[in-house]
Amino acid sequence: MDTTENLSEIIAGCKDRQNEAFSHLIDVYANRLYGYFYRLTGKTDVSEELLSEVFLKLVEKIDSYRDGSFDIWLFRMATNIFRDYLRARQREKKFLAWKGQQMLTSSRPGPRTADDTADNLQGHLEKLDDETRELLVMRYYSQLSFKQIAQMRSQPIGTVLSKVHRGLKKLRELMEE
Amino acid sequence: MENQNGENLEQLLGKFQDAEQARKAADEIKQGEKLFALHPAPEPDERLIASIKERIAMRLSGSKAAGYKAKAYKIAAVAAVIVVLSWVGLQFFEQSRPGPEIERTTVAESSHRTWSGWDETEADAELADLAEEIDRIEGSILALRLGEQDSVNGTVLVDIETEMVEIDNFFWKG
Repeated sequence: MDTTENLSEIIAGCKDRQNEAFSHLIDVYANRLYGYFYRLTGKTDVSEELLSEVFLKLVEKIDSYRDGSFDIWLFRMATNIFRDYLRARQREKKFLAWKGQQMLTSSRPGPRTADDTADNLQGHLEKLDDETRELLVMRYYSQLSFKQIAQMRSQPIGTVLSKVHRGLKKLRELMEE
Repeated sequence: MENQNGENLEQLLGKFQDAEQARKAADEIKQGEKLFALHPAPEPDERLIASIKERIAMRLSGSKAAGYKAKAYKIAAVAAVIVVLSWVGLQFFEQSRPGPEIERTTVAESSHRTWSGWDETEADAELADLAEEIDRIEGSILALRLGEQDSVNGTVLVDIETEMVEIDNFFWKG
């Protein structure tokens, strides 16, 4: 990962609408953001779509980033994009229910590909509640400290620590079953 | 990717639990996070990354073109304002300048002088003379038709003819 100084230069380049700077930023964050979306959705196609969206949004919103942790800013945007996706999925679910079709499965995480089922962790992550799953995935892929996560989610740090601890403990138990 | 946020978990948890509990919780968190490292998520396809970069490049070039367009519109708007202000200023300057007023006065005076050269009383008198002459000729023609005057030697006709020539000349000469 780039040092803070390098990152500041890259961000300055992005604000100056330099294509190379955006390209560099994508190289730095693409894997972590993709992992974040994949662990939340369990679907490669959706993760690809959300990853594209977050970077295109980044181009649009980069001027609104002032100071502070860029990682917090970026992962907050990623979280918002994921929540928009969830809301859209909820709407789709309601629509399908209204239509009276027996197609609710299509609005769930979806049919698994060979790659998805091979990942044992993903299957167990989905057994956790949405908030805990989001916290665990955020903690690992954003590489933010507990203090930063608490700040980002506007929650007391004790609450975040407790939820992550319980969530990881539960995940380990599920994996060991 | 693990523990790169440089925080001391035990110390942090120690604010909420006793030392033993904090040590145990920190260990459980670390063990739990290891699961993510042991089961890495797939990485994005290189073609996807290339596609995103391409879309961003297109968006940036589009926004630059839009920026140039916006600048051109601004320059055109400013130029238009300058032209309008200059024109208004020129009009105001010309109105306040004494020159053209004198010129206009001169035109007015000359036209007044042209029309003031026309003497209405004199014209009326000439018109009255002509009307009187015409009446006299009409009377002569009537007398001739009625045979009231001597028309044997034809002098009346000659007189009338002479008078008509005179009137004609007088009329055209003014």
